[in-house]
Amino acid sequence: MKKTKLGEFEELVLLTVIVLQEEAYGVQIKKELQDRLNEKLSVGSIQTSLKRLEEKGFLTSEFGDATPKRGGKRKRIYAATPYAQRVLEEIKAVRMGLWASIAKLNIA
Amino acid sequence: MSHADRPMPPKWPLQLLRFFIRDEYLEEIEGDMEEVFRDDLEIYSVAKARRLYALESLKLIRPGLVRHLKFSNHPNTVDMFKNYFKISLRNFVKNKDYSLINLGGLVLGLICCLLIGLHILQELSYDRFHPAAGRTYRVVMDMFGNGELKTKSAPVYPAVGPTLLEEFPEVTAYTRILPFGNGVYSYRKDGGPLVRYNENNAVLADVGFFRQFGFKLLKGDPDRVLAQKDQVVISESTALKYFGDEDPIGKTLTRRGTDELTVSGVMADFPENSHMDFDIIFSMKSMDDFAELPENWGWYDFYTFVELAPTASVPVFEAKLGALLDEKKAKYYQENNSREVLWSQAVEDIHLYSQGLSWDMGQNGGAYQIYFLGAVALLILVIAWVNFINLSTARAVKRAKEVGIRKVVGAGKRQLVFQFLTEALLYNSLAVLVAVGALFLLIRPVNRLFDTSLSMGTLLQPTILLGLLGLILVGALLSGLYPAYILSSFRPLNVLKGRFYNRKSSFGFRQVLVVFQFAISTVLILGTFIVVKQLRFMQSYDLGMNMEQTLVLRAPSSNAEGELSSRLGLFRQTLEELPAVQGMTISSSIPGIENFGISGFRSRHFPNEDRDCYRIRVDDAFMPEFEIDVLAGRNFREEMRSDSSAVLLNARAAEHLGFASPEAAVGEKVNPGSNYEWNIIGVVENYYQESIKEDLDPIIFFHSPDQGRYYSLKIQADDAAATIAAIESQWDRIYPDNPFDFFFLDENFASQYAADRRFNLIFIGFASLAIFVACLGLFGLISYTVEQNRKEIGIRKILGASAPQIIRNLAGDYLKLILIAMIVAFPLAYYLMSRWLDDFAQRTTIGAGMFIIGAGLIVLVAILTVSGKSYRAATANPIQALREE
Repeated sequence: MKKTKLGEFEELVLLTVIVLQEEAYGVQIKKELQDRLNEKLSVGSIQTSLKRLEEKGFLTSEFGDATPKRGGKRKRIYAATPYAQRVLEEIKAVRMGLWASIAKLNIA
Repeated sequence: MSHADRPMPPKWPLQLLRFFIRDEYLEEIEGDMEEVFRDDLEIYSVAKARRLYALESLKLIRPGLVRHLKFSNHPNTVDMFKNYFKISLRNFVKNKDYSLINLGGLVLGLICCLLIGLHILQELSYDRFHPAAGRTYRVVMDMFGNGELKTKSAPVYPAVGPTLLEEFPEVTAYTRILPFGNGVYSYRKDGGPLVRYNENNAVLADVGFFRQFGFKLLKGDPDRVLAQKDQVVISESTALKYFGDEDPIGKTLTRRGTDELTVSGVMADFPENSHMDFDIIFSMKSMDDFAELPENWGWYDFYTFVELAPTASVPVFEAKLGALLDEKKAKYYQENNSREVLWSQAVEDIHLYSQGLSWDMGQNGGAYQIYFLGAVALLILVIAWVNFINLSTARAVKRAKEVGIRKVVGAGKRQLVFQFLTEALLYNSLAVLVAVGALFLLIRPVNRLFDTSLSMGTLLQPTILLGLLGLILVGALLSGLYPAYILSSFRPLNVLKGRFYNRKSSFGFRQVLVVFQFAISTVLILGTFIVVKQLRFMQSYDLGMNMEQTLVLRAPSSNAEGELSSRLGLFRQTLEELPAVQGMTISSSIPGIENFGISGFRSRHFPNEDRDCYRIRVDDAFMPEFEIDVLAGRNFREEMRSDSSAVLLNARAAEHLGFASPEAAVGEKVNPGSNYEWNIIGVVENYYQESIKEDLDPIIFFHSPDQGRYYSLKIQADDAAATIAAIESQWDRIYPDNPFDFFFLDENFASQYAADRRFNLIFIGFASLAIFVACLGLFGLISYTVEQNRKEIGIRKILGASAPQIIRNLAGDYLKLILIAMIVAFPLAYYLMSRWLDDFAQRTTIGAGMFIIGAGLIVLVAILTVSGKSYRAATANPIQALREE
């Protein structure tokens, strides 16, 4: 956790990529997150996060197929790296630990 | 789904994306955007989907996605630009003297330009704040007698306004202003002292005044404040003067002791850029008892403003206006062999284009002066640009190696031109910045010096700022192009070998520029001389009367005249007891104040034609006290009862009424055979009623021993202050209801020349600046010549040349140029000076002395400029120059 910072929004995007598996490309990620967060997101914000995540080594990507709906342009399918999986696990562990402490206090 | 009717995303955002987004991301993002667009189409209208697309595109332009901006075809343009910038700065710092001379000249020129620009903008802003300024016109009148134009009158008849509204469908409103409200106004607070002032900016106006004009009413309803008889609106500062912190509304202001006016409104003080300036306006309705205004076609003292309907055609209105009086006054014109033609001027034009209109409000008619000042300012700027050109080309020698290296390394001519233009741009921008900064500091002293009210706020308009930017660009181009051309055309091989500079050719062009600069300077200097000489000439001109040691009191005003004349007796008696007061005369007008009293008179020689003469009422003492000579006949004598029907003429009036000589007029009659018949008992010398810029007026003097608007007292010169104090204490005793308001006649008369004096000051300022800037350039040039020729000078000295010889050698070239400049300038200056003098009724002579002194001055200044540097070069030890190698 020390070396690489993962922003809150970036974490959400990263998780969404993992959830969507083969369908993880820009518009789909945007839709999924919009539904889950119940708020409008711009293409720009999603794309910036994706590019940054890729730069930081959390994501890899490759071109997928083109559809007429996209005006013949190819999709770029994103996939999480093992490193991302590990970082997410770590974050989760830290959070769980924190939540656990709160629960104990409440009981006491 | 066919391709054709498929809605497409808007084009420009896509182009934006293609420009900004990194190439490697573009396909993906374009695809995403299109997909989102298609999704949106299913939910929203096409228009909204497109709108969203555009919005999303804009949001995509963020650091993470945008390419690193480069001008991709010329990857090093920006770097080169940076380099030019750096080199310019280094050169600036390295040659501080020349850089500062260059910059200083530009800054001075720009400051002049900006100051004058501010002044011009302010002059152009006059009367543009009225609600319908573009459709508001003033109706004025040309008056012809015997087919020739006699007078152009700013005010017209009271019937004109109402008639226009009634008969001309395009006229939607009118306002008349009658400038007859002046006099003493007073207010007595219950139990308090009487507050009294002489008001000089008091007028009567029609009810529509505050609707038609953009003057702000602070208190009161604009439609009602002037609707009734005896209502008065006063300015904020006037309200403060009379009422202090009390609310003025509803208070009674007494005019001339008897008229009671009720304050119905308070208006903001009039802005500077209005040709009208009133402190007190009372309702035209107050005149109802005195005259049948709507039918009066004879009394022309009413400034009349009309508002035209937005659809009205101005030429049609003008044509109808021109014919109106022919219809209304046909009989009168026929009987008098005269004619009058109404015409109109846009309210916005009044301030600048009212030259030649008599009885105008405010100081109007300065258009030519503005153009003139603008031209002078531009000339100074041009001189400064010329400096830049001269110094840059002179400096070319030093830059030659740089240019050579650049060329060898591969710079094309275009790139070099671009480099030197960049440098010029840098100088010009810096100069504009410094000039604007300096203006912030200078504006207050300048306003104080020239009695102006310029404000920096005027500059902060988008159009003006764009203009400044334009000035920078034009300046950079004009001053940078030639040096850039010269510098970029060096041949690298010659340069690097050391044979780089063809001295003759570019020196030729510089010579021409120096001649040009000094020709302009010479013209300006000579212009200054003539302007100063003309003013001195006017001020010392024999006016035909003596104004010295004359203290003028504004006569007490009261509409109860009988009561006033008994007090006058007492006042006269008291003054006789003061030894310092040597005499007193009462008159309706005095020299130096515009006379509104004018009417038509006839004589034996003009039985059927009204000849316009000014009227002045005077007492017996008027002629002797002002030392106006009686040419024929005699002066008034109070003891002669018949003098109540007697008049005096001035020589101009006698001539105007057709009498062959002053003697011939004596014993004749004015208006013979009518009810208003007067006996001419004498003819007096002409004197100048107004500044000698005006022609001599025909004047008829009527006898009026105890009524008048001015009491003129001849007092002894020593200890005038004590005399005035003594007179004041007597005045306050006798006239407690009237303010003691005095001025010295000669000072007041001289104040007519205030505008000329200001013009002089401005002119002198500009001329000196022009010369200074030109000398700055000369100094720069000579410095370079000296520096370039250091070795030559050293060798000459070693071979035995004396210092004077060397100075002559160095400075001689430049002095020759200055002589040529003067030969060019003299005829031009002579022509301009005589044109300028043509505007004056009485003009001074140009004279050769002026040219000699002007030439001497320029040569002296130039020699001083040139010789300092040359002297140092000539007296330096030659070893210093020669041992370098």
